[in-house]
Amino acid sequence: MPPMEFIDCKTLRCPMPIVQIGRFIKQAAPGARVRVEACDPAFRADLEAWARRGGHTIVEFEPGTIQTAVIEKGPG
Amino acid sequence: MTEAGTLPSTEALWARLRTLEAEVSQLSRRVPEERVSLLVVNGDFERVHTALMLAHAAVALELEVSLYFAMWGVQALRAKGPGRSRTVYARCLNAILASNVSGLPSSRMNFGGLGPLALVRLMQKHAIASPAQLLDLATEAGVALVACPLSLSLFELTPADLLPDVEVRGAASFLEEATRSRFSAVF
Repeated sequence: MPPMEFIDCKTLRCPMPIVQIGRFIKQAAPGARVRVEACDPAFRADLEAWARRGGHTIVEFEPGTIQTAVIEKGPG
Repeated sequence: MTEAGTLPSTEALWARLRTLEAEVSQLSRRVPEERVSLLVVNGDFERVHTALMLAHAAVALELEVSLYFAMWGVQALRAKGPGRSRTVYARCLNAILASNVSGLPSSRMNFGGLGPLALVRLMQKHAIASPAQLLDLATEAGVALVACPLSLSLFELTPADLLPDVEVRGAASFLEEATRSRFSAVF
């Protein structure tokens, strides 16, 4: 299995993390996974809203100062 | 359904189907699109900033978004650099108002323009994109930037005075789009 893509959003503030994730996911294949790290406290809510709208899944979410999320692209 | 004499005839079914198709077609025309329409009238720093933030968030949520700039808002769409020579009235008016997106006044603590400068500096410190940065990225992100032609005439601006990629369309065009949007707001 190819290594999972990683997007570093640690220096980005709302809404830039999901802008970056969205851009990546758009060109990814359905079912592709990506790991994201972010520090913005608004990240979790933004990510959940984005996933809900686009039909994507948040496979894992680790809260903390550095939040780590694993996202799977939904079917097209 | 298998009881004798209760099955509708084929003609009746076709007629019912045609009626339903017409109804569905009518209803689907009224369902809002995945679209957001934002009206920027005020032209103040924080309003333009918020509108642009929402526009970028909308793109991230895969919504179509149009930002319609009217009245003072058109100042945010002006290109940098000296304008063409205009009447004295227009030159004065445009000099008093913002020069472009980097010169927008804030509605509070403007302090003759120092307020927004301090705000932008604070934003940079907190890694928040400034209005100028957001506007710069807007077209590439797929945000439609639209200027009101009447407001342009008021300030004797022409499309040549504005940033490239700015559409010029009137109220009816924007409003029609807004009626098809799931969300619309005025800034």
